[in-house]
Amino acid sequence: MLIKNGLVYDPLNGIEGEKMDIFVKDGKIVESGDGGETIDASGFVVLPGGVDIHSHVVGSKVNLGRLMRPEDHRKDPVPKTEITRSGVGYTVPTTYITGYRYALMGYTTVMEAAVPPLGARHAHEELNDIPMVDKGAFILMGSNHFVMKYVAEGDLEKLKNFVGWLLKATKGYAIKLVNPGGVENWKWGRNVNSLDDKVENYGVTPREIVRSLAKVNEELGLPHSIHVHCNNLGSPGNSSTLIETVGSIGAEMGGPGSGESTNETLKGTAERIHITHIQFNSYGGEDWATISSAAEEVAKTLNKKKNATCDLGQVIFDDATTMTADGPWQHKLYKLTGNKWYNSDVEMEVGAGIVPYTFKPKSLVNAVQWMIGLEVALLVEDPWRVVLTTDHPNGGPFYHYPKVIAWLMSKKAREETLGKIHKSALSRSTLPSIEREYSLYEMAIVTRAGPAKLLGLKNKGHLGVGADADIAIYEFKENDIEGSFSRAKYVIKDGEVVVKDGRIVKEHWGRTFLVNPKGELMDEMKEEFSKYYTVSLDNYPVQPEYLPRCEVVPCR
Amino acid sequence: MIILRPKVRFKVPIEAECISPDVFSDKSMDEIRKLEILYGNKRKPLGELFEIEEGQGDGETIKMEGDMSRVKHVGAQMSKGRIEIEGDIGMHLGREMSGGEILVRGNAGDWLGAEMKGGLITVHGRVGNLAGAGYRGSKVGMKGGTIIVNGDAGREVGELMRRGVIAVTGSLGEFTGALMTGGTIVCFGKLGGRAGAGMERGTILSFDRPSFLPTFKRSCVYRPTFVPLLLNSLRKYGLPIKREYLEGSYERYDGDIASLGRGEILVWVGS
Repeated sequence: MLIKNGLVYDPLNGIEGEKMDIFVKDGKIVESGDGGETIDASGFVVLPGGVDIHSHVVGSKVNLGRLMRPEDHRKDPVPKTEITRSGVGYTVPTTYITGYRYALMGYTTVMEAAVPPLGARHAHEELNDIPMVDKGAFILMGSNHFVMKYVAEGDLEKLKNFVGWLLKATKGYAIKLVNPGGVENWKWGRNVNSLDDKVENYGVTPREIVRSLAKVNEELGLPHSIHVHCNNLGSPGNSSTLIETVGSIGAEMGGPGSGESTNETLKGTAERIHITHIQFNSYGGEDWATISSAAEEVAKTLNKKKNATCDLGQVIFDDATTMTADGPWQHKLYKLTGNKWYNSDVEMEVGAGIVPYTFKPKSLVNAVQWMIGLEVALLVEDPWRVVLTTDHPNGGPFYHYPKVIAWLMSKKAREETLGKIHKSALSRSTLPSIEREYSLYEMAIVTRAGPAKLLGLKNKGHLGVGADADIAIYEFKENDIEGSFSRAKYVIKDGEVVVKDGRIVKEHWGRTFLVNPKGELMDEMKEEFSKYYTVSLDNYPVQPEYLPRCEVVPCR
Repeated sequence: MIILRPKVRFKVPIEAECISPDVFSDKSMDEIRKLEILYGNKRKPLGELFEIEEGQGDGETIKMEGDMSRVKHVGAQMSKGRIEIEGDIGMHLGREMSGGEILVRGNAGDWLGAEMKGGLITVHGRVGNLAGAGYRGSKVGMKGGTIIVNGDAGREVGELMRRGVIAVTGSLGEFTGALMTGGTIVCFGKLGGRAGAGMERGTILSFDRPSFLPTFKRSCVYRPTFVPLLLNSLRKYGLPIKREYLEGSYERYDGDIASLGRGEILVWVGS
């Protein structure tokens, strides 16, 4: 296949708006080619397929969200066509619709951001039902019994062994921490309020959990960094917790230091941390009445700390379904809104909560939240360390990404929305005074090249020779940025045209990414497992049959 | 006026959202015949299943004659005009309507006027369950308008209701006004069990002594000023309003105290 005369933006290879031809063969991008289909892309913008680093698309809590919200599905039925299957949206779409809508936007890789180990099998079953995109699953470890036990014992070797084994057993891709320690405390009706609060019965602190897992993550050489949903999420004044969390990484346990890895092959690489949906953790003020943006300080921290990255968790003014493993926060939100609430306890591992929510422009708090996401994106100087997300479906459905792109690329689009929001919010953030507008090149970084690089997916997010042929072609209109990116002109997945003129023309099945780090099951775990788990150890790991199409991403 | 008659006896459910004055107005007869409806899982033009002709009278009126107990969603989201139905009609009649009038001389199915915002529905016959209710998952049911039933109605009538009036001359099934947050339900017949379960606000008016949930607390006997006003305003619909109802006293029960508890069930205790 040949894609001719397109205006190519490929930040990983430093290509900015050059008119060039791209050759595709056997699902890969190649140097040159002959014959086959030719796509005339003259006048169009050619980008690598989008990569979503953080989204909730499958698993037990997403499914419960679906069950819980018939009123959400009712307003967005999707009939079947000759090619696609039927389903429903809106904030928690069915698996098929999820795949189609990502593809229509030109996204070709999606990471499910929170899978409890016990729910991993279910998550993989659902991932297998998401067409069009490649995918992966982050495994929740922040309040896992074994993790906290080994952290309390200070035994990083055993922790490393366990984490490695768990990732293999659950066929996961990265380590996810959600309110580390806090979810365990929630099982006792409490939470943690700072990085140094103690976790009930274990005596460890969130700081120790985060640091230990960050260290283990690098020693295992996992492609992605630890993926952290910080403590105190959603509470006014929580930016200090975020800044402290970022600051704790790279410092030696118990004292200052470079945080360099002790592993021979990784010597010189610092520990990394990815702060997810940073918007929800960048609040200033003392309570809901005085809430303000702390994006400036947060951005300052990120600008200094090169080993920290983030994704936005941008708020869209629309319906959302908040769902997170952060049980105590969801309870708080339930108390605030009076909406229906679901709470779950995943025995030894984690918990979860779900509360429907609507972000309204005339609500002061929501308006401030909306400003913070964009503010962080515009104040962090290095676009390689910012990723565009809405924390689907927490900040809003993923198919509103083009809206966020428009806000980032156009001050005019921002001003239009600023005109509609609560007036008092305007003075609580620096957003109205920010002039910066993302270029197409920067946009390609925050939606494609950046997340692919952060995830360690070497064949994604770029159009160099050897990359997967995941390509999105848009008709870019300066005056309709949202429209331009909502419906791709062409989307090519693994070398096949799957979307043409904003319509699905072929159903394609992507792969699931997984890692294969070192780590074996220890005998002492077997005993505890048989004593305290409701499933037997033999039934715990996800069998390979559950991943018919997968690709192992090598550790570093 | 446009008159619709079924051409055959329908064997499968039909979804006919398009039968509504809002859709029909400013359309020619040919265009109306071509409107799509779902016959089972097949899309068919309206004209294939219904005989459609133009009758004498107001252009905004639709008249339907025959057995249409399988025809659903008639008058959905309508905002104006009038639908007259001679015969039985299926589920979701007048759902989410915001204005206009629907008159049924026959029985109506479940979800009559569900989540309606305004307008008037009058049924001379039986009505199914969940009239004026909120659809599953919704926070709010009926938000306004009036439903008059000259006959019996099923269960969960007025569930999640927030505003508006539902008046039923016959008996009401269980869970009448469950979870309601406002509005008024008037029952001239027998009120079913567990009425007002989980209600936060709103009024259920009964002229027959119902069985109460234990979470309803007797408050007092009094003469609420609004009751004669309400009943007088309902007179025009031909409801069996006796003089004693206007002059009589009412016993008030507060509830549901397992919920917010600002709702009331008023029971007429004679004059």
